[in-house]
Amino acid sequence: MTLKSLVILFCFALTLFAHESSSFKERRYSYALDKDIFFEGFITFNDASIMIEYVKPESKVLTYFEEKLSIQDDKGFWSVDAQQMPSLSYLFMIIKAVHEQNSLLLERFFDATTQENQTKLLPKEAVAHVLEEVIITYQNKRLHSLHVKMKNKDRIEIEILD
Amino acid sequence: MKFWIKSLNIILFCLVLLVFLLLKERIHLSSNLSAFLPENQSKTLLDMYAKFNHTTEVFIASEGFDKASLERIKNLEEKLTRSSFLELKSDILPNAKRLEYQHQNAFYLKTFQPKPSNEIATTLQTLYEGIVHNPFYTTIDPYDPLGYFSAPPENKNILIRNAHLALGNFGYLSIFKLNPNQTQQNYEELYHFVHENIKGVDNIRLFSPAFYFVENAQKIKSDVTLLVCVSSALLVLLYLLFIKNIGLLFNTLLSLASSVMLSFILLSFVWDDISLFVLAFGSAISTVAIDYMFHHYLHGHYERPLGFNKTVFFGFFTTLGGFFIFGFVDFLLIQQLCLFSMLSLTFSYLHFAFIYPIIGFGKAPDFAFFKRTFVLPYRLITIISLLIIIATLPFVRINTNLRSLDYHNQKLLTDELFFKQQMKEVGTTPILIEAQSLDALVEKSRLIAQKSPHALLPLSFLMDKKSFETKAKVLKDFDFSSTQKIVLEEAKKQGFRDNFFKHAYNASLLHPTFTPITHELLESMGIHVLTHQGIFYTLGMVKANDVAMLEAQNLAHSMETQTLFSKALAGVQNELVWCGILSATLLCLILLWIYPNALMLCFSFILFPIALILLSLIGESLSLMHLFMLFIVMALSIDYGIYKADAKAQSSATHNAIFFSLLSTFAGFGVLIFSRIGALEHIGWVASVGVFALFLLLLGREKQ
Repeated sequence: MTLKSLVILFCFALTLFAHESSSFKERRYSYALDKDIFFEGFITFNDASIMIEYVKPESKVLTYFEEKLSIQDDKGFWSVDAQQMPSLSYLFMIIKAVHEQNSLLLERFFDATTQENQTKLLPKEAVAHVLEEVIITYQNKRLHSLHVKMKNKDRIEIEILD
Repeated sequence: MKFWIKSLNIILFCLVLLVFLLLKERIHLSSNLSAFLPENQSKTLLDMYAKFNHTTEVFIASEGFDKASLERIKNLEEKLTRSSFLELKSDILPNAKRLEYQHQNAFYLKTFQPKPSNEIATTLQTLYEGIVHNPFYTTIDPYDPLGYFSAPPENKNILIRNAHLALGNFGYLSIFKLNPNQTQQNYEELYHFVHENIKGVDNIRLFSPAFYFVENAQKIKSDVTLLVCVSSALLVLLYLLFIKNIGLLFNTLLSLASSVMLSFILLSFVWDDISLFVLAFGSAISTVAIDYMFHHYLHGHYERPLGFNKTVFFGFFTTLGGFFIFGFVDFLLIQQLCLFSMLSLTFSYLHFAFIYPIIGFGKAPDFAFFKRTFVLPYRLITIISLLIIIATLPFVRINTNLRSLDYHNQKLLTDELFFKQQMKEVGTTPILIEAQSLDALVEKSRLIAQKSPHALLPLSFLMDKKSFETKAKVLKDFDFSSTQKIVLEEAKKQGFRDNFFKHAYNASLLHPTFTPITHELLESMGIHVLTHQGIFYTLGMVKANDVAMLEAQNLAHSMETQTLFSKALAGVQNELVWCGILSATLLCLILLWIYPNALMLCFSFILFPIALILLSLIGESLSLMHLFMLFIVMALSIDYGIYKADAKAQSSATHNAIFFSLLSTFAGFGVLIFSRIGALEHIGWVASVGVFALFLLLLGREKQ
């Protein structure tokens, strides 16, 4: 990953995450089901955690803290160890690294190329077993979307609304 | 001619110095106490453990989990690995070969727990709902959708934060190890390399077991230097105040220096590594040799030819005999101390008994330090001392923990504890597993993993031939083709993509070819296994409570240092006691031969110091150095008994000589009390109490 690419990426990312909370739309494509699943909600970055509050299709709160994921829904409060789920772990790692402008972290796992409003991250080594490609796009110097292609042909697209 | 005779000692010193300078590269001083353990199974295990190079691992932690902390640790990683002297061990990226092996043998490495076939539909429905409703991205395993195979919980002593190794709640952690191309474990180079590179970097914690070797050696050397300076200053003071003979002082210092250098040269031809403790002990023992000079000098042997001094010879001979006997103790440290003492005492004796009378020195000053007015009941003292010894013996406890002899490096001990606590290693013990083949090593590792559920074992995730065959039979007996058929049908009904599970429970996963465990395979997975004389070794980490059970079942050896040292030294204490008895018998025989009429007097000089030393150590466990020095004091004390029992005993020259000898012995050994190194402090304590006891005996006289 070139340093220049990352600097540009972070300049854009900064404008998004300068806000305490941002609303987003998420589309998950499941290859196993050949189906799109849609979510909407808010994402908030705290000092040591990330909180995602889903409002659609169901109301659920997800907190990522110290590699653990806590879920609060109508069933109550439960948690999963993200380290046991590599795909999920890498996904949060990318989101966190972009938020914290942690180029060192991304350099370790990806090669990056930036063209106009788009940065493409290509996974290295073992990460390539799980991820295929990550595309980050921005509009008006703001992070616009995050597209993640999984190795198992699943897709995740997150679009920032404000 | 007279000039040459007067300069004889200086010439000898110059010659020895020249040889010493020429051969000094041969002399390798080592502060590693475990290197001097007896050659037995525990020592072999310790040597094997050392070969895993854990002592050269370097742990660096950067405080905090913020960006600055990550940058700091990354910069250090880059700096320390730039020259390829060190390499990063804490790479958290999974090993590709290991992943491939785990994928190929997935069904064999996991626990097989099938469920009734009527639950297949429900299981698939749960999977479907998970994908659709879970707020977090959820994946499914297309090879085992029903979850018949569950991976055993993976015990990891590593914690990952922000895709970097973390040290508890403290911050980021990096572990470095010496590049395998570094053939020699140069602790000093490693120490300086790391400290140079971390200069000016704040908010970090640092530790490496290798630092003990470097810092302890430095402390021991500085302690030895200080002790040598203090004891030399005391000796110089003694000479200037009482002897007032600068020429004799100068020659004595040259003789002692020659003896120490010559002894080191000869020792270097016997052993590749010489313990640093020999340097300290050697400096002290050389002051004992001054006894021989005092007796010759104060009896006028350097003033005019008086012939051979038998008393001094017997004193020298008995001490030499004591060291000779203890030289057979199977503990390299004691062997080195004994041989060094024998050589050093012999060279000094030859100087003082034969060269000094040729050189010639002025008349000794005539004075008496004290009047021996007390009549001491030496016979009674002997009997009481013997009773005290008999009464205290049952309370004597031997401490074979070698660490108690080493330098107590509080800073490093604190750092080590900090890292262990943060890595949750407190309460765990390293183990060494050995087997006749790599396959058997894997089999043993798997067995240990079953018996000790929290064990960290690098080989336990692998498959040995026997386990593979057992698992193959279990899987063969299960009807997977029907299961697969139901899965495909039910998945279609539930709404999964057509044929999405077509590879579920496929033949290549159910019946893979066995992968034999080879060195190449292990190396490619980054696993280090050692071979020594046809035996294969690997390391592990288990809960301390499980060690006894694993050892009892011959599955592993505990690598807990204290236990190993104690085992290695268990035989040494018996040998020391036997050598002590043999030495005492020899002394008695010599006394019977030379002073049959003054036996009780001589015995009081042996038994009273021992009784006093034992009393002074009541309530404390005796280290091997206490025990060793106790017997050495016995061999040294008899010198004084012999001098006292001599026909000329009542002369003030003899008493002055004894007094000076005691002072010089105290100057040499007494100062060791102030050492921060266990071994030296123990030697110093025993010697000081011994000297005090001898001094008390010297104050009195026998009833006429």
